[in-house]
Amino acid sequence: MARLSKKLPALCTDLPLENPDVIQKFTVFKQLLTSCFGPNGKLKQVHNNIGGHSVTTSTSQVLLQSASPSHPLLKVVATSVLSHVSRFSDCGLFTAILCFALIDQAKLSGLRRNVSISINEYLLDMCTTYLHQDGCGCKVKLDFSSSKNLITLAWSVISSKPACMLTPQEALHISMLAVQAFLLTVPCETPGNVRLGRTVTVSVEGPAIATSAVFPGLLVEVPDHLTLGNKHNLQPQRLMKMVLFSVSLSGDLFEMDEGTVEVNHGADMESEIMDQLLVVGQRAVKDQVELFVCQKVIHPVLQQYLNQHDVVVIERLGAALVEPLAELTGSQPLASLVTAISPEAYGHARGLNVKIFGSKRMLHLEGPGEAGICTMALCHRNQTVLSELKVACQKAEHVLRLTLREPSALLGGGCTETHLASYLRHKGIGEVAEAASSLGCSQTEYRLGLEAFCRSLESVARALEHDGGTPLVDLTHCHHWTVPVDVTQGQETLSPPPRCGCGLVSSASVERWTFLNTRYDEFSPAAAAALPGDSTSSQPRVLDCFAAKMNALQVAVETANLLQDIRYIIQDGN
Amino acid sequence: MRSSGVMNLEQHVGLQKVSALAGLTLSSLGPCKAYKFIQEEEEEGGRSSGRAALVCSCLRLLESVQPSCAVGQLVSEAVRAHHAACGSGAGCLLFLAGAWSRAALECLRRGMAPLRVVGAMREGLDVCLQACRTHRVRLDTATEPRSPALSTEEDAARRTREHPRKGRGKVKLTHSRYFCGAAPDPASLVTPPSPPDVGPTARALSHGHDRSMELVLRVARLQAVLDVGKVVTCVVPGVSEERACVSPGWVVRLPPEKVAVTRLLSGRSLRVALIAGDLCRRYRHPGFKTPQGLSHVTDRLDPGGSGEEGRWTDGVLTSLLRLGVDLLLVSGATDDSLSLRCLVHGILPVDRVRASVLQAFAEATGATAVTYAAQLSQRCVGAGAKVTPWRDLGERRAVIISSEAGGGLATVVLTGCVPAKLQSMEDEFWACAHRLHGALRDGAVLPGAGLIEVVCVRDLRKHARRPLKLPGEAEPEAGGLYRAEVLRLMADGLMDYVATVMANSGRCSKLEAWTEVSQKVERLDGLSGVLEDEKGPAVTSGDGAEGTVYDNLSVKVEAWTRAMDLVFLVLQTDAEIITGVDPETLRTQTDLMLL
Repeated sequence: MARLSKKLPALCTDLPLENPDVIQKFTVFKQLLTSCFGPNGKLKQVHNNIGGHSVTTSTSQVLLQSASPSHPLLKVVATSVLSHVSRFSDCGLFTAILCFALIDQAKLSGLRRNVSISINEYLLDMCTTYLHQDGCGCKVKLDFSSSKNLITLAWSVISSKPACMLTPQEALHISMLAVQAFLLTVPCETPGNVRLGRTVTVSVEGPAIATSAVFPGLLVEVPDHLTLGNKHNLQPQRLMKMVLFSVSLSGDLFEMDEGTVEVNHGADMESEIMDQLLVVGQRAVKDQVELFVCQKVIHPVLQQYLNQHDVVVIERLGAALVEPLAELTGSQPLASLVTAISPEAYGHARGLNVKIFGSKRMLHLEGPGEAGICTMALCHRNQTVLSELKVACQKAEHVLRLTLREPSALLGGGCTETHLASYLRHKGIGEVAEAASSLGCSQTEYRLGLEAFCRSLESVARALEHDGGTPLVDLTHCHHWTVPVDVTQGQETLSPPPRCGCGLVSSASVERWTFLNTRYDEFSPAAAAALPGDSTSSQPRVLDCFAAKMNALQVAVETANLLQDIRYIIQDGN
Repeated sequence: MRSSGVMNLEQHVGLQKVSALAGLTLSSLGPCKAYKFIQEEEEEGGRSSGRAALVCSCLRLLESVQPSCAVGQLVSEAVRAHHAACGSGAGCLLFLAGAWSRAALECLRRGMAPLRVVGAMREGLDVCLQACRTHRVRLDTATEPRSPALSTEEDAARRTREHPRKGRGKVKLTHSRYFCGAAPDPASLVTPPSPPDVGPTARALSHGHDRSMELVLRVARLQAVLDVGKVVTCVVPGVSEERACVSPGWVVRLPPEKVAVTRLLSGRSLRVALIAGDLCRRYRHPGFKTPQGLSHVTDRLDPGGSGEEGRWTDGVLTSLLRLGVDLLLVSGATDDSLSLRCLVHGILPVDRVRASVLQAFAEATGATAVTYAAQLSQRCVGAGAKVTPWRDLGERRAVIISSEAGGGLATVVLTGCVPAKLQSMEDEFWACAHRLHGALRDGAVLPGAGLIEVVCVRDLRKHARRPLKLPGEAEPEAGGLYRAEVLRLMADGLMDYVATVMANSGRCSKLEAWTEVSQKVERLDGLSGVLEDEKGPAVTSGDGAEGTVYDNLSVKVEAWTRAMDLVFLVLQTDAEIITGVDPETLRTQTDLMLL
């Protein structure tokens, strides 16, 4: 007898952004992400309710991947942020915070949804145009003849992840390693099409952070009893022939999908396969292979055979290292046993030596030419901080690569946001009549929308402070300044810190400040770098990735617009 | 359905949890540890056995308690990582994590921003680590039977007059597989100087466990240079503790039928084969996937189906006999019938052999470990192993397996009448071994018995009195206005540590201990950098024999740094996100919010 279960009706939420339940969830989610922002951000512990592995992080990517929200509106934000981060690595939290701020401000301004959306789009265009201009006051041209700005860029990414638990010196050391790794992946002498290499990150728990280092070539973890035979004191320049298998050589039978295979009793499948494996080994020995690498397990008998013929054997290389190793050595990963090894499949490696990091033994392999492949060995005291450090370094490296596409960076520390807000106010007020008519709204609406957008930008700068400090903005360059909370206590007058958020402007060169959340008469902010007399020390200390921030700006505005545009949420309850 | 809830931590529950967890291990701090019984509660379904364990070290305690909360996991992770790296000092780590968590809580209560607390505490840690560097005692001076004092030139000259050889004798270190580094200096191998007497150092590092350290020393003498990678422990229950001893080679207890075979083998030079893995027909190396969907067909009936098994056993036995193998060391299990047939043919199979032992025999006999018996060949078989019956302690079942080439293996036989205590005794021995090994590796030690902590307290307080902005410094330091307060609270944490260790010794109450430590700090305050013949506040145990006490340099530095890491991680965490929460159960919990 068939059982009938009653179908549940779909759940429909009208105007979700005005629903108190949704608003509450929005607020908590916003606080959660906002409190992670910047070098002084708070960490989050993510774990499941049955005592599983716990993660401590303040990185948007790790946070949103391990704790994905279930409410559809929050999911939209999380997905936007994650897809932005997967392409640009940096500015994930910026995206989320700006998106939330735009929605909040739009609500406060009381504008109709469609008006607010079109004004946001208009202002986004204005931002993009300004940031791409040469005279943009919050942009720094990167100079590849010096590594200073590159290190600053990497440092800004790494020091914005407090869960890495680095002292300032350690953060600088790791930033320099990131730049070093990046430079190793840029080919020097290749004419024509330039192809970037890649960095492989290896993490080692235990040794001091200062032992972290970058090596050209690859580091492959090997067991204690690896036999290097007579290869350990070779000439470092001598090339060794090598072969790389991506198929398992453990003597497994072929993969059977469905059905059974009948084997005559007495027939020994394993020895048949073993014979085949040994043929492969004999072939390799005959072809004078000196290094035999397999992604998966190699049958002990084959290993023994190869060792007896003075071939160094590396098994369990792992899928992640196959491609870099193939690129490094010029070998082709062999995916089957049956075909005879063609001469082109062999590669060459040089300089086998064993490096020891704490409890791990690593075999250092270098390629014959310049393949642009390097390994970053990261050491830290425990697994929790090490995994965050690994993420931070990968982000820093990606950010550095993005500079090749667009050799500029934006001022960090909230200065770009305040400067941009000031510029938009000045520019927007100047052309209010034209803008309003082209947008088809009233001038008042346009002014409201403009103010909402600028305040949203400024609230991102404000989000950098978590400990009750007072945010200021100067009335010359419109950079962002923060007065720490214990300095303001018991003092009548505000004494601004010696330098602004990005470190480009010193307090000596500025005359007037105002609180960030107060109104000030709009003016055209001066570009800070062009300041006379301050040229010796005018080096920014915090820089953000240009490409990442441009895209983040776009994603934030588009996501905010999308969310504002949602009229109903319909959830199927079945 | 996947969903998450957020827990708001208003009073910083995380720091309180660290402090509470540290409170559990108060009694296992210092030389006089108190045992704790941990009993598993019997559950209705009978899933847990209601077992009880007797623990006294911090590591074992955490292992048995298994805290499941997120902070508990961080604590366990830190302790485990520290133990893996250093082998001792886990209690120090956890206590200070707790004490500094309380300091951080107090800072928060006084309204300081977490960022400032982190900055000031990091500065404080630097002060402590600097104190460790300044006051470390180099080991060539430490082996002198005198109290630690910073060596002056006059001192050095006097020492050279008194012990002309000792003054120059370099401390030779080995690099076991756990502590690999540069290759040993070839010059020191060619002309071996008389190894300096590590006895005084070892006794100063024993921390009240003189008996265990005595065993370590005997191992060190046996090995010429201490190599913890080649030390094995063998536990014999039912014999009084005094009879623990050290023996060269590998002492192993065997079942009676195997002991019988050893009589035939003793006195001969044996050929040895090493198997890494199980020695049975069905065993396959790790990574081998047993094929699915394979069926065997046959036109003959195989009664009992034992033919396959028998053929395999025959094959292995034949190859063992052909190669003349006398001794078979297997890291996994051995097939029972094969084992019996080996014994009949005078071959001694020993299973469950630790990897380090297998490695040592591979080095000493020239054998190569193989995975399958079929791989055995003349080349893989080593020669020169020895089996001798071990008759101490009235044991009838133990044998010593060693090699003629030496090989450096040493076994410590630990005995005890109370079986529940044996685990703790083994831990205690290993702690002592790692302490001495660590000290030799560092080449330096710290003045112990709480003295280095007292120095740190003094330095922290001195640092707290420094003006915030020194002339010539460009920017105020990270701690801001509250720096002095934070540093004093940190110093209190260290005072608490010394006082707790003293109180644990049972000589005085905690209050008296505090008073004594503060007086000590005041006395030290007058002195400048040098510790002139200073003794610590005497935390050694009862019987009045107050010698010099040393602590390990790297262990202490690591433990403090890791404790600080833990505090920082928890202090900077402001929310806990729980994933995979069932929306139904969430309704009952009001402090959770479903996102």
